[in-house]
Amino acid sequence: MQQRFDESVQHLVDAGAEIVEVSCPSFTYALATYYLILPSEASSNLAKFDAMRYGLRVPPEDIDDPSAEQVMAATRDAGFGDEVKRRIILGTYALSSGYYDAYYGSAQKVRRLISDEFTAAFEKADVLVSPTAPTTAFKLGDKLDDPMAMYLNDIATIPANLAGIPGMSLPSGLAPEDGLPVGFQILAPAMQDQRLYAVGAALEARLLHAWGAPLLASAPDLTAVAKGTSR
Amino acid sequence: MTQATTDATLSYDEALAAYDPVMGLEVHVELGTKTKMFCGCATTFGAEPNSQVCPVCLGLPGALPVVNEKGVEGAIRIGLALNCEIAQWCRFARKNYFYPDMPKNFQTSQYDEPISYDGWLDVELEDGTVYRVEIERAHMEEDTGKSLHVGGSTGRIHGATHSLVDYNRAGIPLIEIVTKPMVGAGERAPEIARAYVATLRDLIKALGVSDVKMEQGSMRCDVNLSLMPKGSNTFGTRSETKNVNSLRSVERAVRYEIQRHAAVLQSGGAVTQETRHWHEDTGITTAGREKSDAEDYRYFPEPDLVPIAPSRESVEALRATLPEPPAARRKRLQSAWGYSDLEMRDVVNAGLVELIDETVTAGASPAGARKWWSGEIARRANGEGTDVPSYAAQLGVTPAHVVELESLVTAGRLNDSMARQVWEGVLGGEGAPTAVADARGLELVQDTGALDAAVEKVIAANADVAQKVRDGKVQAAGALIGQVMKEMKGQADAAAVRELILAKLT
Repeated sequence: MQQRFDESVQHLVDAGAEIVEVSCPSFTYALATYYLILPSEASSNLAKFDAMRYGLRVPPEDIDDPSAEQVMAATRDAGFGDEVKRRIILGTYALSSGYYDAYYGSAQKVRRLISDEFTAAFEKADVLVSPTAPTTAFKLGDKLDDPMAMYLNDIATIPANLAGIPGMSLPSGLAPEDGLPVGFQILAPAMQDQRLYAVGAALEARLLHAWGAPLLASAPDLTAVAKGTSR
Repeated sequence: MTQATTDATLSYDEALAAYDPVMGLEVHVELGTKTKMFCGCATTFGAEPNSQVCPVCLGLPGALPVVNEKGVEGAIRIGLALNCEIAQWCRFARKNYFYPDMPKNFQTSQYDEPISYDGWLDVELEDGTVYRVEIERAHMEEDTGKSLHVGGSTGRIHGATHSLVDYNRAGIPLIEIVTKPMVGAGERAPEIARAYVATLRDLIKALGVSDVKMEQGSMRCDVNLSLMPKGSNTFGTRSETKNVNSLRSVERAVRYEIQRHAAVLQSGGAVTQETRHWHEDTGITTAGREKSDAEDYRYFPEPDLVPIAPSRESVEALRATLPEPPAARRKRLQSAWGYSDLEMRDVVNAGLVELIDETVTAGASPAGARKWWSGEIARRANGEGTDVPSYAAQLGVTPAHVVELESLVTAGRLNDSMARQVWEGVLGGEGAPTAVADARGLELVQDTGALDAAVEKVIAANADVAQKVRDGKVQAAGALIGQVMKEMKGQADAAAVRELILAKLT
């Protein structure tokens, strides 16, 4: 992974980029911040799925003549998956009276620090780059029992979401250790999306030239893989 | 829970002897914007259910709100009229709770950052006393849909087999105006509550931002009330009586809650913190939901809307659009028109201020304008169950008609009783005053010969009365005047007749 990242950085240097390192210490808390703000907002956003106006409606099995609230509860229990329920419960808790300041309120303060650190960083650099994720993709369903590991995979992309700035991810080749694609992330200040396209296009052109073909050409034949596993 | 029990009450005088009421009023006003607060749907009252809805106000997934600029302007103008500070920067907040008539299951409202705060409104009571009501805040929010509970006998949710929801009202802009606790009102608390709501209603109507019709729900009032023992400064537990939706009910609800709280406290009990329902027919409140299992609304800033940051220039521009406050305007007009307090109060209560103002502006005398708009036409309007301005509009009777009628009198063509007949004709749809007078052949007799003859005839026929006048009993001339008028079939100027009689006899 590191190798692919370093290569892409070298391509940008070859294209004329100047590399500087920046420090954003609050990014350490980005994940924790995000997983308080996101579930809080989600708990409220998802409240509209209440079986009243559209979508699923599941009457509770064990109640005759159920109230609207009982129908809402049974429908939401049947319709939402585990991860969604987890986020609704976390978010409801984080917004609750007595916990708001410690959780949602603190998270919003850290969010501001992260945003400020981006602003400072963009005074030194036109764009920021990093790997898109700390590891290559894990197998489908592999981390279902370990939500923390799943959340950790978002660590590089989440600061941009918190700060409200644009980002782009480009395939930068396959990791030598497992042969899976590695993403290269480019971030720009708010309303400066065109910088992403300028840097992304320059990098893509050089990568294509180096590979001699698009990365997709080196992807395994999925039908063959599928047949292989079903046998 | 099924059957509301009637609570004990203490007499009002006993209650006030032992306790001081603390009162807070929350008034919701629906703004009369053409479209809803966060979408472009129409806001027409009484439209076919669910005909004024869209993905935003129905809470469909993926729909995003956009703030209605006119709604914000209306909120700021109300804030300014209530002498409030206007926030430099504020946000909407989500108030989260599940209810079928609320499409998103959160109400977009404001929480700790209201658009206006720290204001006041001076309220004049019947006897002229002015009470200053401190305003805590006036914030923006959206209305909910309307539930109709079907299948029960009461129309309430209890006992209903199912409910229908009309989302036309969902998303209509609301301003919630909250007073600070009113302390020291004493026995006048009910009167002050009523006067406050009435003054607020007039003020908002004058601003033109809402039709403030309590009977249609475009203005709704909640009454918070608690008692503290005389001499104490610690507020008691409060009750919140919801939807007290007429001026008279506001006054009655405050009075009733004072009496009910006093009975609870007097018997050594504790007042329950709860929502109460107001019953217009019986004049009592009954327990609603208890608030002790304090609902947690999980307020947080609305992430889908940008903050509202009105520039100071825009606020000042809106301040410049504020009309003269109704109370000040009434004072100014009363003095200009020379009405007594009683006359002015009658005119205000009958809703005649605008009409009289227009009529005086059009050239009538203030006394004439008041006389013609509050006599026969008021009797008729009342019979039709409406007010004079609406009735006049319906008949097509205008201030110009009053001016014309008055000018016929001052020009000497009509006397008062003839003018009344002409006015009846105008109200009866016979046309403008001159046309009615022509058609009915109403005109004072200018022929002095005919008048002179009539006077001579009456004097001759009533020699005894004539003698009394000759002897100095001038008031006896009245009987003669009446006879002459009769002789002239009413078409004579009574003052001229009187002059003529006195000239002949004294």
